[in-house]
Amino acid sequence: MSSLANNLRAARARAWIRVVAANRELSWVFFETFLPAMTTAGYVLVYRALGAPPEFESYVILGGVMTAFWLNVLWGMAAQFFWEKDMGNLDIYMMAPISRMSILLGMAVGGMLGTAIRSVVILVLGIVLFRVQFHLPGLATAFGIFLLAMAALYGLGMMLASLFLLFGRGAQRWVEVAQEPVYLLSGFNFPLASLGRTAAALASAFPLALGIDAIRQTALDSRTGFLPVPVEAAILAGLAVAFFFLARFMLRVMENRAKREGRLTLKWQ
Amino acid sequence: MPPAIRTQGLTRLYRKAPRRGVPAQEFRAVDGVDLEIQPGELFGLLGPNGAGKTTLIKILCTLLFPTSGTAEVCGLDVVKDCERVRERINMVSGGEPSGYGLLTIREQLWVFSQLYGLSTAEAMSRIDRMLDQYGLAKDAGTKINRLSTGMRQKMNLIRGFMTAPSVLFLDEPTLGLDAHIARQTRDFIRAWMAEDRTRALLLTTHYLAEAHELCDRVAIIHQGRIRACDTPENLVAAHRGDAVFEITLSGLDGQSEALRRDPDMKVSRLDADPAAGHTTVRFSLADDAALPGALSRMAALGGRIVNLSKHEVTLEDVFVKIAGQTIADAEKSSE
Amino acid sequence: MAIALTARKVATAFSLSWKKEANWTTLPVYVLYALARPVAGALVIWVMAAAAGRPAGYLEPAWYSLAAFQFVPAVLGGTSWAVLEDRERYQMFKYVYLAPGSAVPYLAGHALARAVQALIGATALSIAGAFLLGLRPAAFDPLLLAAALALGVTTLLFLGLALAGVSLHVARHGHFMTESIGGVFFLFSAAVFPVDTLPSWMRFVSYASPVTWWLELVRRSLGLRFGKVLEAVPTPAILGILAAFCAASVAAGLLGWAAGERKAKWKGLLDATTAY
Ligand SMILES: Nc1ncnc2c1ncn2[C@@H]1O[C@H](COP(=O)(O)OP(=O)(O)O)[C@@H](O)[C@H]1O
Ligand SMILES: [Mg+2]
Repeated sequence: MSSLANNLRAARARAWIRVVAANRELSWVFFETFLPAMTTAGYVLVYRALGAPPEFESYVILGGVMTAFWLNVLWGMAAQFFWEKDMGNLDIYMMAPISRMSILLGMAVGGMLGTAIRSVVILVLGIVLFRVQFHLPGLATAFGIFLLAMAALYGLGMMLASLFLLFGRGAQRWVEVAQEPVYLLSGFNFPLASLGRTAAALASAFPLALGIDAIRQTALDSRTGFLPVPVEAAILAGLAVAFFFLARFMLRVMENRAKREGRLTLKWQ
Repeated sequence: MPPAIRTQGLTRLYRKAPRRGVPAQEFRAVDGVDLEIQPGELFGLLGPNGAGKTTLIKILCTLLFPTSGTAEVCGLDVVKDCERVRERINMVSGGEPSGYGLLTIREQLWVFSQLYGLSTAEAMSRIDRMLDQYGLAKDAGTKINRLSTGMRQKMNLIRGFMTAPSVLFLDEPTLGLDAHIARQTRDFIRAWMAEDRTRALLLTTHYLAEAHELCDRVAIIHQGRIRACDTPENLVAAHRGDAVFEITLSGLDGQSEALRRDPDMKVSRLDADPAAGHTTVRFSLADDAALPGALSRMAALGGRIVNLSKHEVTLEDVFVKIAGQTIADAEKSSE
Repeated sequence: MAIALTARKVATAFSLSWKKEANWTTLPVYVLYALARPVAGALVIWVMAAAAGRPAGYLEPAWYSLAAFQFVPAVLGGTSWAVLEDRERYQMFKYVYLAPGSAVPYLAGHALARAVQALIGATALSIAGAFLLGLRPAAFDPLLLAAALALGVTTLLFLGLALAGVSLHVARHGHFMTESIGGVFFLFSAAVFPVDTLPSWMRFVSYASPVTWWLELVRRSLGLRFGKVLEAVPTPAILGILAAFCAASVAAGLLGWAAGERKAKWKGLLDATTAY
């Protein structure tokens, strides 16, 4: 039990770095919240140009909100291990008597400050400029789904992080590659069902796909859902559990391999 | 109480990537190391660059697996029991940057203390005490971005000391420090060891005088192998009979390297000063009687004596004799 | 002498950047990597159009605009990313900086390496569009296209230089920064929708963006029209506008970098690390 307390203490400290440093250097507010909203607005205008019904514009806004979390997982958490290695901090974390997951959790939670603000900016933009209408009775369920999707997503992020224990730039490239196809596969900008049944089913292995789909069905009362909400929620819960254990397993395997090959703390690879 | 550190036949191979024409090769960075270090000991691991010191420390710190052999810290196997080992150790690697540029020294140290389950109050009181003791208190609010080498190194060392590990590893703690800060650092290390007699500290260095001054026992490591292990006094005493001379010659005209090939002289230092046309050589002989022969061979190379003096044997001379090479040579051959 | 040194610096930086981008893997895997991003982006547009019932006249211009847009984040971000990566990760920007001559050619080399990568993506998208998806351009004016590309890439490169001057002063935002700057142009230069769709105040912003005119010129070279607003402007005028933007961006880039650099030196930021 004391080990759980110690791990939470470590996570808190790692999150604290993010919050304090972010407060000291405020340029991120511009670069990470205000500017990304522009991309989202751009996609809204694509639907305008296409003459699509207004609910499609709300889909894009919701997708834009979720993009922030995906980027936080990729760059704020997974690839961050790579930075830590080059900054000389990874050895310090690795030889401390704590779980690697607590450090990752700290990064994730600390990064939430930025992502939350970014999502709110996009939401406000959507409500004020693009008149997104929420289906109020569905909001509570939507929030529950959101939490499930986040649990699964951050589990996935921890799996990705494990790659950086062993690999360097190679892993970074794959993470870069993953970024945009995931926009496609999770239907950030269109209903998941538009991908067609097979592709949508495959995309469901990625937590944001079903997460966004279910949130659209609940919060926007969308009729274009892929699967019924309870089914999607159950799958998300399954993914969350599976990814957690997979991440733990992969972190251990990758760490051991890196220690065997002498690459755990090898800089600039 | 189990030994603080015990290794048996500890070996680590690295694979050298294949290059054009040269196939992949394995080479031994650490080769059959047997060491036993007791609680309370301040132990020095001496060796030139590339001797395998850092590799050995990484294995003991659970950052690297050995290829074969065993290593225990506080009686716990570093491979099988790595989580419990981690609760008992800390490591500081000299000259390496660490931390987050936007935090201050004090904040950074607090962050790292949190990896060891210290309460904030306890951590801050230790940190402030050590900052004060180590003369860093006035810089506590400086951002990591703006640290001088000395400040960074002091911060790193406090990071290791503040968690009060049973076994502390310091990899080249005085690397790149000026004489004053190096002295402060040695004092700090001694004071920390004196606080608790069950602590053990393993440090590596290639400054042999520093090891002599600081360590209870030293091991000389060269090309991955332990070549000698004893107290500095005993190591020096064992070679007391040796005659160590320092001679300054003029007129060698670039032939000074030939002195290294002399059959009787073991050269431990050779500084050529082309501007002044002088070469200073430190060497040992089996006994004083070998001196005339050596001097005549120097004369044959064209050397004229500017200065000649006899010296006490130092750890450096012992190292030269044991390793069969000077530190500088070993560094050259490892490049 | 100075020219030879500059050229050598550009070439060295180009190959260094190319190595950083490409030597982590084999060529086929690299090509796959270079294509994943543009292809995914194009498919997003494709599926969006499909979801909206594929109205006529949208996909052709949007597709080739998106292909050309690949250059924007790549070239614009290439320089500032080089600064951040060298300063924070490899911690060697100070050495680049103190080498004889200016750091500009070094940064330009990085941007050009990224331009080549963008070119791979843009070419692949265009070929796929024309031959697999049946999105045929109505015409093909290679000379105009080449002129458009040359002007566009130069403009982006120097704008990126100004951005690099800024990036010396911000904490490490890595990919966020390139991504978000790309986003601004995505919206205000009406990358994948006609300028007509922008609310009127935004339209005026879009006229002030070189990328708007550049994308229009690329579309003209392929005989494609996107909306009515820009149609009134004759092609030579667009060329002129773009050339003017190009000249202005060269000045802005050199001045912006010099100012950013001087201020960074003043503040001791050339070898700072800011990641968190
Ligand atoms: N991760 C690694 N992969 C391959 N070779 C390595 C690695 N780390 C160290 N070496 C090599 O092992 C040898 C011993 O290195 P090291 O333990 O760092 O020596 P020291 O700390 O005594 O200077 C050197 O030749 C070094 O190049
Ligand atoms: Mg070393």
